[in-house]
Amino acid sequence: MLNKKIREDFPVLVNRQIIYLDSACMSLKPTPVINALNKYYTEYGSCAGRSQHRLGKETEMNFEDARNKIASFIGARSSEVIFTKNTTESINLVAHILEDTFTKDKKIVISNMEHHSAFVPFQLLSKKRKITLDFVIAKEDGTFDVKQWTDKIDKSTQLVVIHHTTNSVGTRPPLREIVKAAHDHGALVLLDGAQGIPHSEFNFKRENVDFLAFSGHKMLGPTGTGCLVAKDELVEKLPPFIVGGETIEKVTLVDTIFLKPPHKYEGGLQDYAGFVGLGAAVEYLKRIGMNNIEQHCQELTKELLNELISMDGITIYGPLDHKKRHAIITFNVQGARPHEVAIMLDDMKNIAVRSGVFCAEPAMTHLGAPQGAVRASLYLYNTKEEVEVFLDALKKIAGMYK
Amino acid sequence: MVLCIVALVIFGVLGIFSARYRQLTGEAFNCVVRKITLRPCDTKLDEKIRAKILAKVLRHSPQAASFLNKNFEVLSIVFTVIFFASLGYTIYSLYNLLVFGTCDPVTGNCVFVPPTNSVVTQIQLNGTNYTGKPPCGLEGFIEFYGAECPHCAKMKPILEKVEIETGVNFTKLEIWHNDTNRDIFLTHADSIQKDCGVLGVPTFYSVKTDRAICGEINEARLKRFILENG
Repeated sequence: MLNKKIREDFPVLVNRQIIYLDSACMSLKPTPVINALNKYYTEYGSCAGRSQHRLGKETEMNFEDARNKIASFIGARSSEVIFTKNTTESINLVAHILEDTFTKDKKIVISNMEHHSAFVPFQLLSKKRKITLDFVIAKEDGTFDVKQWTDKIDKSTQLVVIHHTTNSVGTRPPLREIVKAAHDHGALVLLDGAQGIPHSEFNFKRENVDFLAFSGHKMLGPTGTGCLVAKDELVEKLPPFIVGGETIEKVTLVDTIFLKPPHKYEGGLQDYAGFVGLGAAVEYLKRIGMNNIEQHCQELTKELLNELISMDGITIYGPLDHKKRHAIITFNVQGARPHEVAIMLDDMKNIAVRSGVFCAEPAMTHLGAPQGAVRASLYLYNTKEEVEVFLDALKKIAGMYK
Repeated sequence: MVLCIVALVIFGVLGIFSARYRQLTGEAFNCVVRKITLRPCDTKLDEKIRAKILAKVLRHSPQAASFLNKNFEVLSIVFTVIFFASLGYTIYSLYNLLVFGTCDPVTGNCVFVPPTNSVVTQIQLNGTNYTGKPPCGLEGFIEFYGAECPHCAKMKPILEKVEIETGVNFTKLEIWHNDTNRDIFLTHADSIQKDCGVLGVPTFYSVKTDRAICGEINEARLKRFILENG
């Protein structure tokens, strides 16, 4: 378990008596991240990439330094890290820049466990380009066997869209086997890393995915920061999407020469403060150690899940083996609506959890909770004591509905 | 449905004073409209209110919370009926307060008006002290009234009924236009003021006991006054 002293780094936890179990939606921010944002606004806040004065140069230096830190954090080259607003924008960017490459005989292989952000852009694309969306349907508990994927991926597959970790139940698909099957058939792989990157060590090069999308706000970074990590050789050939300021090398009245990636895809003035903050966030995570964070969350997941299994009146979604789950436990109190339970936990013990379908309606329907569920998600600042308070409150609520 | 209606009324009133509640009023309104048109309340306002109430009870007593949870619909209907009955009664009382000067014209009990002068049309002494003795020939009970006094008019049928039922007749003295009667009234000013707190009409006075009761009162109170002072 991680040292509880790290909680002192999170002002929200110091200032508020709260048990925060909603990190799968939004993580809390440590002081170094807040300080980095403050420093930008109070000491050098200006434009990068265009202004020659010292403030501009300092902004550019810190902005690109943040890119280097983030690239190093996920084992990619700096030129492969494209800054976006969030995972949703990253995935939409992929859908748009790949649009013209699709032909009618091609298909996209995708699972029914995806977040709406990873699913809807390709649903739209499939309708527009008249291509097939071929679904890999998860097992009852939301997990997959390799064969389910290898059966679907064939020569007509142009793109495979897959999650690193589901946001609904915290399960992980057999990524390496899926990537291998896709590449063997000449297909690209887009990995939705929104829930996985904040919790596990990940190496873009080693995992060999073609696109990786993730958000800063789920990994201690500021809101409005996200990344699309895309292989250099791939995106160099693809068209730009949002163009104008920042993306341009040269413009004449008849033509435009665009910058090389990643700047080719970063249209308009960027969130310099946000990405400098994200740079500070990945430094913080590295300092704590991603393996330590993963182990800490796994231990809490184990305790939380096992206690929930033995509690009366609780329906758990997803696998009951804690080793198959990663920091996310989803459940319902029998007889209670999910929002009711969330409000009661908040009112009774200041416990923050998420309730609803978690922007994954097909997944929640498949799991047997079309009306939604309650999700408790864990992160490095959560403690065993917090889990115990949560379980105690939940026991009382479940008792009330007996 | 029930919760949404109650929420609409409460948040609507609070929304007059605070913008914070206007959004909730909108949610409640939306919820009521959807329920009336047989659609689910998409703002989940009813769920939120229910959960907040249950959580507060659960903090103190799991048994009470369990009971409340199991009977929530029935209890909410009961409380809604009580709520609307209270609301109706409040509106009726406010109407009375505006029109008659008292929330309850029958008993005269009204928190907004001191009980002693609640339904009394006051008169002024103009600084004169009347210390004379009661004129001869007046005995039993007297009603001092004003010809245009609305409270006196309301008391007229009550007094007539009580007179028939008790066999006691009040001597009726108009004091707004009749100076003689006014002087008689002022002769008893000290006693009346002592019992009623103010001087005004209608005043029911017992010559025998030198006690008075003022304003619009119900039949039972008037009978008791006669019984105690006859």
